[in-house]
Amino acid sequence: MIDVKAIGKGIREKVEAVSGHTDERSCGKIIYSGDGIIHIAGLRNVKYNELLEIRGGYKALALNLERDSVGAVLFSGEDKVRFGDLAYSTGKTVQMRVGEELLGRIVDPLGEPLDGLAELTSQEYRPVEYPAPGIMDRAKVDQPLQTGILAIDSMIPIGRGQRELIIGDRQTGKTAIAIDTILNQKKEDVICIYVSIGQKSSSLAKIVSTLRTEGAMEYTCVVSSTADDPVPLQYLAPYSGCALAEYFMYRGKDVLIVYDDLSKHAVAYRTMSLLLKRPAGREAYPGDVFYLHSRLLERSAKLDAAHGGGSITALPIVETLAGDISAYIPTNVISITDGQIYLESELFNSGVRPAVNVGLSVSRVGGSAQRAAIRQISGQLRVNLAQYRELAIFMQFGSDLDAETQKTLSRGQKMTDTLKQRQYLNYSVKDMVILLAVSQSELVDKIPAKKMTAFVDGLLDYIRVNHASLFDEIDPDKKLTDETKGKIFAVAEEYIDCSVGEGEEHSGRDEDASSGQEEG
Amino acid sequence: MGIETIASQLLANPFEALGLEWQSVVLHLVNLVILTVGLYFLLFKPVKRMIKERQDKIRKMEKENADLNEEVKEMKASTELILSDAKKEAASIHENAVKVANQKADDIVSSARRQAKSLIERTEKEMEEEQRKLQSDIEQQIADVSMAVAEKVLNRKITPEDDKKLIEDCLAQWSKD
Amino acid sequence: METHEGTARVILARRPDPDLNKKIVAFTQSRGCTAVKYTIDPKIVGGIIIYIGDVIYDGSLRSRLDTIKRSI
Repeated sequence: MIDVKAIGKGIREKVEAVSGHTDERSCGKIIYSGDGIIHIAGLRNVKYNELLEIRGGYKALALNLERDSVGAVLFSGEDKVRFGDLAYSTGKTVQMRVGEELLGRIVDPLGEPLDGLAELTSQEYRPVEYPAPGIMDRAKVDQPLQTGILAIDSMIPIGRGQRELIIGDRQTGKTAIAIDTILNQKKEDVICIYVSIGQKSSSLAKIVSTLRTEGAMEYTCVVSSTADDPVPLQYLAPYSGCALAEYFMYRGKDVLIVYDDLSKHAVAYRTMSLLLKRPAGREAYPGDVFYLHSRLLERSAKLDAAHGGGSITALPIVETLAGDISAYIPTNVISITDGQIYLESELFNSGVRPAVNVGLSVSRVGGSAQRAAIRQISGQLRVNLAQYRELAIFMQFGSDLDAETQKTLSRGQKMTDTLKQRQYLNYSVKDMVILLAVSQSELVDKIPAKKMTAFVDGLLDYIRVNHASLFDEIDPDKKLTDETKGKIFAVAEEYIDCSVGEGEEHSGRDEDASSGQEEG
Repeated sequence: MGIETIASQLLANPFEALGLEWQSVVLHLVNLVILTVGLYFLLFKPVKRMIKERQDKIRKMEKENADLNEEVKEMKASTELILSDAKKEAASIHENAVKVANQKADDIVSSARRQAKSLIERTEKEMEEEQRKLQSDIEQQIADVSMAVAEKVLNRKITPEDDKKLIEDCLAQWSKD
Repeated sequence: METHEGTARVILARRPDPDLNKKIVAFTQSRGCTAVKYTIDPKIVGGIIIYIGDVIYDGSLRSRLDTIKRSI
């Protein structure tokens, strides 16, 4: 199995490859080490954010430059570094390994593989901190990024290069939306990067296995820092992920990056800052916590054609406590991003999944990137749903409803049912066109309220098998013609007749039977 | 004898023999004619008309009956048609459902296959990596041992002259920088 | 780097002879040091380490061995 000769040869090659090491280095002495923080005496010409090397091969990041000492955070060897050890400056900032071969892999924020697969051979590196593209380098966001989620693509459209916050309490399906979006990029030629910041290892393992079984790992890289990783690595993870995303963006690719989640990132930064004895501000976060996220999210951009036309679309996730979006970190990130998808636990628990609160969710730039057909038929959707919600709340108290109100209520209910979507079930644009057109037409009045979900499930399968040509007729980039619309309605009616109609027929028969008895 | 005479009398003069006069017979005949004509006009005509009306009515009813029969036949035919249509439709719906189900089954099977394939590939890769790790572990061990040996040897073998030369080389190089 | 105390700390594996001493002093003087303090440490195996202020000149066999070891 193991080739002994190869081992000998390998060692010999490596020994020969060792070049004369740098003899002359700037160094300092560690005068304090605790909680992953070290203070170093000496190192007078070290720069901010410089990578330090500590004897034994451990790495640290210089963050506090003071008169007599340097404060730094350790990436590794927290328990190995001792008082009196030497720390060398390297003259480099922290670098992230980049390259095509990172796709399909799980790496730590320094670019080392964590998935037990082959070692990475790429020797290309990018600094994790990098200035955001300037104003003149950017182009207008005009291409949609399809999430495959009907509620989002119809009402809160996301464009390539946009930053759309996903915000909500714990257990409201924030990560699920991000994962669904990644899964939906399968045939879209979009590279995905999932940055896990301080997540539980178990939930990360679940996400990775989902991505793997759905075949999404082929175009995805997971940058992982779990809850038991050193705090500085958690702090670094989003910047590393962004560096990797930039590598692809400047090569003209479209990239989707998910930061899951930025509230834990802020907490990690707070831990570091407090240990470094920086002054604490609101909620004990340091003063520059806004800048922490703004400089990260500003790096998402859509480049103009002269720069390759690549883009980074960012989906940062922020967790709120008890739905409080006016807390410090949520308000910060909301103000930085181009819109937010607000998830509510109340909706989630009442079975509306994805639990998107349409009223509070917005997308500030995605509208112009929406496909023409979708824009055409979803224009009234938001207003209609808002009307329904208002009416539904109002009608909780009343009992006698006139026919018109009842109709509005039932239609709203059916629309809401249509927007419900199972996890890992992604709709294509054409699917969406059909569903939106049918669910807003008068046809829904024929469907019993309880059967709406089954109808939505079945309709697309029915069309796919029996009227596949209908899909060819729909062009998402053009307005829907009346002819196509008519065809969609005809097919939908046909399906209503042969599937959902049963229930009505059944009740009709009952009536017949009872009237017959009366006669008898 | 008597009968024969009576009969001959009758034949010779029937009226007289019967005690009738021929005038009254004539009158009676006239009367009969008048009666017959009168009755014809007064009774026979209406009766005939009545009968005709009845016949018409019956004929009409017969026609209606026939029509109805026709209709029933037609309806029967159309029912059969509808029934067969319905059967056809049911069959097509069933077929569609089967098609959808088959499609789904195919999807599930192919996705399962894909998963199995990726699992095998991954496991293979992991095994390779495991082997590589083992190899590098061995390399590390060898390196550790050789370094320890080298250190010992150097400690003993290095002469003050070697050391001095080494130091001088270093100093010379640093001075150059 | 310019603000060191003017004393160079030199670590050697064995005592230097006068000729070597002269060379070391010459080198440290070229880096602005006025005094040299020797430390003898057999653990460095051979070669020389000089500290001048913040800067370390490491020409010891020990560190060379370490470098090789780490790169394997």
